Amino acid sequence: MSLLQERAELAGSARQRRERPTMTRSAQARRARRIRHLKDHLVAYGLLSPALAVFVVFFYVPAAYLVYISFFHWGVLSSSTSFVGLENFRRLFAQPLFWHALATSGYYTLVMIPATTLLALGISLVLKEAVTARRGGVWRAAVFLPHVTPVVATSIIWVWIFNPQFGLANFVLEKLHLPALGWLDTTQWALPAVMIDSLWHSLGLYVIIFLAGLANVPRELVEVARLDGARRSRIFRRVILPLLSPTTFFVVILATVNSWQAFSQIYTMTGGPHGGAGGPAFSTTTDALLVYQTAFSFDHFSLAAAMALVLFVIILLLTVIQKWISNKVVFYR
Amino acid sequence: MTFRKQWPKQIGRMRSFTLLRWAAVIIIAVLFAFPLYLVVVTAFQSHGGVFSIPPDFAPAFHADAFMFVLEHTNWARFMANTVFVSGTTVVLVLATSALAGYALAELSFRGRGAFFFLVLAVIMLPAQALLIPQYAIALHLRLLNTYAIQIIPFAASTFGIILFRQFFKGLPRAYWEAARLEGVGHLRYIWRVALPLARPAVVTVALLTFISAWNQFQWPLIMTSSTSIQPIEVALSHYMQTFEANWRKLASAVLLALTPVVILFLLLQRHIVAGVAGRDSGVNA
Amino acid sequence: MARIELRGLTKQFGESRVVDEIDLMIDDGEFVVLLGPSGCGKTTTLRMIAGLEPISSGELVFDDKIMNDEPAERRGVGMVFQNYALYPHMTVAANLSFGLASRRGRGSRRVARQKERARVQEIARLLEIEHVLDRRPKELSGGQRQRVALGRALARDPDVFLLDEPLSNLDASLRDKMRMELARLHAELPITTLYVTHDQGEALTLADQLVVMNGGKIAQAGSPREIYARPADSFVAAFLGSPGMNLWPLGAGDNATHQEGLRLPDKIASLSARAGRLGATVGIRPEHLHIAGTRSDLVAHFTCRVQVVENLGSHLLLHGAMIDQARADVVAKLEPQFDVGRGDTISFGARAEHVHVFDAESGARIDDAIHRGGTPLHSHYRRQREAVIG
Repeated sequence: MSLLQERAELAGSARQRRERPTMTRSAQARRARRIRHLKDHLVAYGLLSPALAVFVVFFYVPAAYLVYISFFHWGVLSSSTSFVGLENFRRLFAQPLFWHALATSGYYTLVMIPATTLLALGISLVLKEAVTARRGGVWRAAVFLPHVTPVVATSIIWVWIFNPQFGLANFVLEKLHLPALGWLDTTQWALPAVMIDSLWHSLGLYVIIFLAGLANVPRELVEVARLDGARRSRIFRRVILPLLSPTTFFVVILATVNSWQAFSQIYTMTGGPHGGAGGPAFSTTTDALLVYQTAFSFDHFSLAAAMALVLFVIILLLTVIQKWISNKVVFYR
Repeated sequence: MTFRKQWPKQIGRMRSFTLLRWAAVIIIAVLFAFPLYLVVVTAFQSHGGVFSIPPDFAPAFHADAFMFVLEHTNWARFMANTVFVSGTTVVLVLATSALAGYALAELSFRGRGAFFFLVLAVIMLPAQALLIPQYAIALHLRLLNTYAIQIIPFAASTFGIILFRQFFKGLPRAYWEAARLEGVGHLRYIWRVALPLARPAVVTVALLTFISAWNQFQWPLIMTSSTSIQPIEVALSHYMQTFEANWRKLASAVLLALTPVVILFLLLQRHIVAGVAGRDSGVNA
Repeated sequence: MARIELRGLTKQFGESRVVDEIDLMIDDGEFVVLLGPSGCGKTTTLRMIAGLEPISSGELVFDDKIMNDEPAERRGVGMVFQNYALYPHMTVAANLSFGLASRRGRGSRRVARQKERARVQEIARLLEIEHVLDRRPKELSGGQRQRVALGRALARDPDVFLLDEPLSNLDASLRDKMRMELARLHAELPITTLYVTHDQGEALTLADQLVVMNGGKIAQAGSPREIYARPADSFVAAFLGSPGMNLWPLGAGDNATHQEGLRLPDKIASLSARAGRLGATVGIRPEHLHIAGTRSDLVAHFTCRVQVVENLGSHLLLHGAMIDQARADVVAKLEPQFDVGRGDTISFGARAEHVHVFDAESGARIDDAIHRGGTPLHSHYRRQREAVIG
């Protein structure tokens, strides 16, 4: 018998043997495999379910519910719910206070975004060297500390600081030979006072983010530029800033969303001893505050829901626009 | 020749530059720390000292206002509420994040992409806009004015899940395979191997969750009404009305609310900062 | 204890077959080494046996039980991973007992704990790691880590012992020592063992049965001695041995790559007639090349010019080129006292039984051994299986 023949025969018989038992046990095997497959999936879904249950019940269902409410005449306790179509939106848009609140939110956000970004970048550049020094963490910690403090607690202190008679703010202005201000008692300066508190409270977070971004800028690139004789300002503009652009973008997005949703500091600084929050004369009534008051102070839930939906859309739009801009500006490595 | 002449001048310039820098660093640090210093000074100021013109920022020690707040407010109750709510939230967040992060990192199952998207998309929902329907749902679930409504909605965290997922992905595959060959189940593996090895993630998630839970204000303001279960932040906002213009008492109350967080932060600031910085790179990645 | 059989075992990722219809018989207590270059499918085969990788097609049989759909933990295998996969946060003792605890059945917890502790002691004694039981993996030397990894895999008293390149992380001297340890261990605990490596030294010393893999298929299976002496094809011939076998094209007549400098006896040269359209390949191992005239039974003469001589202490390694038009590379092992230098011309010869002939196209062996009806080695194993299955 030739070798080839022998081999072919062996292979053939091996195949036959393989096939025979496979036929008889295939159903059983398929079942075993299916059970194992099912068990693997049950484990995975089981592990995910606690987190997902929370997200669905308290975030996704409310998000859908929000849209629903805003098209109905709806009260939390009232049993009569009726479809009113765009009625809530019509009433909302007819309200001057809504537009005023929108403008106030816009003003607040438009000031906060550049102020936050530039100050955080500046402070992180100043701190950069200090942080890399031995025990440099102290400085970073000092800047970050306000961010971890409770907003209400520290806002109370800022109310004290902005006290027109005995406060620190006017004391400083006086030392600088500037006129004293009425701060929270005036329509003109109340919102800036809130902004200062917000900046103090939030800058630490953004500084840390920038510091992390700066730490990721490769040293060699800066050193190469320096060897080429580039000046500091030029290195910063041409090397560091482009490499930092993803971080900057992240900071801008975060600052936008946080500013547009600011609540606690406004509520605390403009409420309390000053009567209803948002004053004086609605000068600090932002969108977020108005939604809260409409719903929980005036029990007008449908209107508030319509307002919240507008807020939702605005935040989404802002994020999308910024994302679109970032695609042109941000340099990703 | 000229070289020698320039040498000391250059050093002088360098030194003045760093001196300027250090001055800036110190000024910035003082600016950020001063309001907190002011809390302490005001709380322990003498009765008349608060209202002196010009203001007196020197430290003093008159404990009467602070003692009054200690004795005449229910601060221990509010503090206990806050500790209970924050602590429970931390434990639950760790549990849900570790389990979900593990499933997303290590297991392959149908719909994994969709689940991951559901986890991620939560951060796109603006919290402010959802308060009204969340209130309605809490009402329907009969959870209004309970500890549960202060805890459960915050018992899952996108950030926590992503961080744990990243950590678990970094573990060698053979760790799980070795356990599996020996008949060790997923839960035991998570508890005994994955979680202990993800300690940095545990610390970061625990700290950041604790801080944000401790600082909750608007949520309990809306969802709770009885003072017996409200946290310290809401209580402070009540005190603002109660103590009106009594700044020493207000500052004392603020000091009480601040102290635990500040101490925790000072003890663990390295981890906290690392966690926040890591969050940045996590989002960019 | 288990007898293992692979029947047409296949692993498919999309279109590519990483493991392609492998047939293999492993006797109870046998030490089998899977050897091959990286990417040949040896690790995937091992992982399919362990149950860590689903089997695409074919059958995996332990004793008489088909294990394809049996989950990994119920196959009774212990495995040592390439990087050991020791849990860094646990002590050695905890690492060893981690898997034991999962087997705790009903009954007293205390008794179970005691049993675990006793087992850990037993394993530690066997592997001589009793003194490091309280340390963590980071505090151990490479060799100790290796022992702990072995111990963990053995702790549950497996029927099948799988090792995936276990020595590749050790330095050379430690590797030799651990290799001996493994041989001793197998002698003491004759568990059916599958051992994956790309190191032929380990393969040749440890294996009862050596399986050389290439491109997802078994190139040859058999005892190391047999495979070394009679490689089934030119891949095995070149892969095994260090350095590997010299292979020269033996064209059919007017072939351009024909080694005209190589004079073969007619009996061998005539074998090329049986080769395919690309002709045949002649192979001689470096240590089988002798200086012409030193023995009387030398055939297959050629002359080469020396290019490099490496002195390796126990022998010289000579690199040269044949003096003919094709200038084929030659590697030869010589006695260390032999005086030779660059540019020298040396004539070599080899004994007839050391001259191997392969088909140039398929690589398959076509020398007289097969022609005489000698059993190709994997068919030997097929027969054995046939006898078992009936």
